[in-house]
Amino acid sequence: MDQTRDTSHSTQTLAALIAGCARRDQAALQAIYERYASLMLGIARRLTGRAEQARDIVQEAFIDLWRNAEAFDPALGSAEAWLLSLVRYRALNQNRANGRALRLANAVEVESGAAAGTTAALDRLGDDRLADAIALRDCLDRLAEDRRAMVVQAYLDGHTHDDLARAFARPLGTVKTQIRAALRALQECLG
Amino acid sequence: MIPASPEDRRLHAALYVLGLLDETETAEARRHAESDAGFAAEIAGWQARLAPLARTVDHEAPPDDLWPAIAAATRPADAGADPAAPPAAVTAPRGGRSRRAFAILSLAASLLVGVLAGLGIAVLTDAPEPEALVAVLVPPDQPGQPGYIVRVDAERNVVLQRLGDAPATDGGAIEFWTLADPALGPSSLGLVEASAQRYEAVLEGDAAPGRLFELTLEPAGGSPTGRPTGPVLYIGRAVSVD
Repeated sequence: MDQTRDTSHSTQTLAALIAGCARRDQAALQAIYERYASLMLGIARRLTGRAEQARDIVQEAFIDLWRNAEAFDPALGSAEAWLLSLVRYRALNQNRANGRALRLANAVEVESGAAAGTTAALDRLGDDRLADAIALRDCLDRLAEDRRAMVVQAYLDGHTHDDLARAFARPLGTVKTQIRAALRALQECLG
Repeated sequence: MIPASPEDRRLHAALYVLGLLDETETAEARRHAESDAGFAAEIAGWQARLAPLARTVDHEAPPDDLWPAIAAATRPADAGADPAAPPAAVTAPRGGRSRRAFAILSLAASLLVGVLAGLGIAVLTDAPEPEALVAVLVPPDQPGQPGYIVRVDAERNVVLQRLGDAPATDGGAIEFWTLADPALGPSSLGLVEASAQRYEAVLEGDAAPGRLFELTLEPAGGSPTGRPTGPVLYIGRAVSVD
């Protein structure tokens, strides 16, 4: 391995590495992989519930990154948020294509797991001392518990309105209204 | 329909980022963001607001064959003979299931990239590619040793190309299979001469990412059952190059 190249890439910001990918610097892509592959795989696994699909989604997300790196605009937001969105949207699309039939074959198990996962996610968010995490945790804390859980489960577990209606035993229209109210409150709080 | 009022558009962007729009609405939002910088900025804003939640997820250990597959698919067309180095280690710093660091990937991973480049097979480059799918087939127990590459174009024409030495068959036959849906099982794409450098077939069904391709060693004349019966010689999963 070219140690000089690796050292220089290891100290670069994610935004700089994405710019490197746009210049067809494969070592920049590799540096992003080393930093983020395990997190991206975790995100895809959690959204789809399937390890094999998660692997393929992450592979395709990195190929997406390579081919579309020039589409990243630092003026529009954080590089990390952009990168993680590549894997999230692919996983969400896969869920839609699957009809989620396999994933939700055992709805009770999925829902109880999601509730536990929500608690764990909020605990970890509380441990994250980066400014964006502190702000998000602070604003999520101001939501009613059930609405906070709906937002977290939609984002992390890929739950649809129908899933949430079933999990919270509420009419679909009620869940849609509550989610929208929660998002408006978050928008107002986070600015 | 993308809402007209700024407040509703902001909410629509949030629902898109959460994944709560249906398939049609999602596609519409994505298209709209390409031509409406304001809407794209709303989406980027919600991605940034919610990204800290994504960081709370348990990290998962990437399988050893993941980086070699990505490296092969992203090899720059004008790269020299020096193959892409495998990652030194990918750590999973959080999550009880996946705290371990990963071993250095085999040098065979570099070989995979080098072999493809040496044959002029830039699986993905800046140039437009006619293929819809690409799969690198490797022995199940030697993921760093590519044996064949499968390319599928938008018309579902399949080209299987041998990269290494002709496999030993001991009087048997090599049969080419594909699997799109585990519920339906694999279907045969025909018998491949061991000495053949190239074999062509036509795919039935969708050319969708995730489709498996494999070569198995069957009795002379091919599988007697219509399903694979012998050992898997090479296997790989297709990825999209759209």
